[in-house]
Amino acid sequence: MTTQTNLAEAGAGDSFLKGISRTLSRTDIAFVVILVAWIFIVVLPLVILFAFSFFTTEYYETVYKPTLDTWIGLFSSGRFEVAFRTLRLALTVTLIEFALGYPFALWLAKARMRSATRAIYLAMLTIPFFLDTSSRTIIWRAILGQAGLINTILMHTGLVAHPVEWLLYSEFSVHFGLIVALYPTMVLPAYLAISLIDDTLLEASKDLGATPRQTLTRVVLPLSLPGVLAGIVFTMGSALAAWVEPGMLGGGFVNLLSNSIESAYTALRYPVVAALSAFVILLLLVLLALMYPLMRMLGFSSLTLKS
Amino acid sequence: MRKDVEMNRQIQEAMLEVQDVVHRYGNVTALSHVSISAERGEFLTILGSSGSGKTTMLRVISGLETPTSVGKLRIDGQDVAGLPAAKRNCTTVFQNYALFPHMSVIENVAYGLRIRHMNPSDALREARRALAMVQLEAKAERGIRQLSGGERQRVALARAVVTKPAVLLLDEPLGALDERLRQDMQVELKDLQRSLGMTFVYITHSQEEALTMSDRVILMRHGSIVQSGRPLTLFDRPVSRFAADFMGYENILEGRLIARDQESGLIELPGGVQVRGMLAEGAFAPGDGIGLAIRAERIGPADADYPNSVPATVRSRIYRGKYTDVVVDTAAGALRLRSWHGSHAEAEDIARVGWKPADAVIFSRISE
Repeated sequence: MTTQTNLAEAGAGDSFLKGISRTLSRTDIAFVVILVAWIFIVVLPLVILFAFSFFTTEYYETVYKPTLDTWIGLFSSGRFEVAFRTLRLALTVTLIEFALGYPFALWLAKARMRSATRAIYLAMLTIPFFLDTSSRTIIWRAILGQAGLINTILMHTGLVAHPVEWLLYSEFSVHFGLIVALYPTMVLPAYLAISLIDDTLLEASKDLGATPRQTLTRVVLPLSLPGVLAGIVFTMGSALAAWVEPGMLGGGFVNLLSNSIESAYTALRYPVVAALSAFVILLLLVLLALMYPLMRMLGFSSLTLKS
Repeated sequence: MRKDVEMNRQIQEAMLEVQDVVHRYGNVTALSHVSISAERGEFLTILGSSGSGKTTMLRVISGLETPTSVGKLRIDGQDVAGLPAAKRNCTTVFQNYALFPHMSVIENVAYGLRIRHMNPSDALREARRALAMVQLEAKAERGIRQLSGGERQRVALARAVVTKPAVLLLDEPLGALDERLRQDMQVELKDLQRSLGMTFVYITHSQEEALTMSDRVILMRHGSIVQSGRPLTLFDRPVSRFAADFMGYENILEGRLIARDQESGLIELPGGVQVRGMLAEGAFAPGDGIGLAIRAERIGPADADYPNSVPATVRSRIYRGKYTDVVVDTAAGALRLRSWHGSHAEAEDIARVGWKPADAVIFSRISE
């Protein structure tokens, strides 16, 4: 129906121009609609959240009087430290994910294999997403614990005399749990970006004399950078906000921001929840702002990010 | 004796020698015992339709494909059979150009130099010189997406020659360009090749491109060489039915060789008419079944006393703008005549058609 009217309009010259201006105004409308929706769904809650962080709680009730008490309390109570521990952990996890995930994504996207085989690998990567995080995570207790699978094997083979304690309820186990859980988050975007790179570009690079390493750093990495950035953002964001893994595998010894938020929430101290959340969001924004120049400094992509 | 000296000189000058390549993809044989060579500064064209194995041949030379077996593979005297593509002294101009989209024009051209750790200022200077050669200096800082098809083609060319390879391999580089641009680029490519003195191995399916640019043409089919020689030899003396057809001969008849001399032969066509033609390369003996190929524009109406002619009746006339195609029936089969504007064949009735013996080619391989 619409197509028909459009065709009819295209017949006469000036109504064709009208058609163009109508299409333009249509995209304008789309922009306004999206902007309004975004403000209501994303920005407004954040503003309210941020506003809440300037209130306090008394006797389990929020006192609506602007003050900096909550923020001051946040930094004096050592939660500041928690924030940096969280950041350090998230960065380490992201870095390790990149080191482990990128080569795998490269192999999955460009190695010679039948498409059925590739589909199986992709399924293996995505199926864990359908399972509940808690049930996936709690299994590791049975494997990493003092009487767990690994320690039992180690003891039986005589490799160690006493169970290895740092395997569970330690920063190690929290790192480990996060790395396992967030592996697909890093691999999938990188895989998609790499598989979009035309094979003849890799051949051209080889043909012009580049070693595999040179092709990787000068062609593959820069061209897959959008996917890598997406992977880093998703992984880091999830790691910063993670609470299942640190809760279950940290055993109370590894306190992260999300755990603080949870405990403040259970205590109905909403302003503290708001301040902590706002702080995480600020950290993320700072990291994102740092990432772009960092990537440029590393020599990736002079033009990739320009379209 | 003199011939030996000649041959020695050629062997010394050979920039590319490929002997007895066999390549199979699974059960499909892409190349079946093919040998080719090219001299210094030669423009060699490998001509063939898709599936002829010409692109595989190019990829075997560049090293992007490892052949199932190869007798000898030398570039500029160096044995490269076991070397990866990156270590071979040859570069490729790809069919879709394969320019790096995240680099500017000048970065693309300088790529091969930077890879070789040439310092940036020298690399930029060399790259600019290469760009000047293809008249694209002014667009050095542009992005690849801002270039037209013809300009991308030139960038790909500059990028490939900037490292001064011994052999430049071109894989249907003009395939994606429009007719007009293609003709301009043919001239430019030939000029460039001459001024660089570089050996070009050029892949195409277009006989026109092969004829206008090459010093030598190799015609391939089903992974084997059908014929090789100077462009004129392929154009005027095809050795098989396929070669004649591919080189645009509209009329291919079958007959029997009655007598021959050094260069020409006398043949009998079905219906008992005897005509003369030139012998292409091959083994001929009187009594053999042979093929006769004649171009449509070389056939015309003939008088009854013209010796090289057959009785004919007009079947159809098709007006095609610049010319008119006339199809006539003869005892030997249907023949197509092409008559340009103003010639008699356009309107007059035709009782006999004939051709000069020099315009008819006799070939021996009628079934291939």
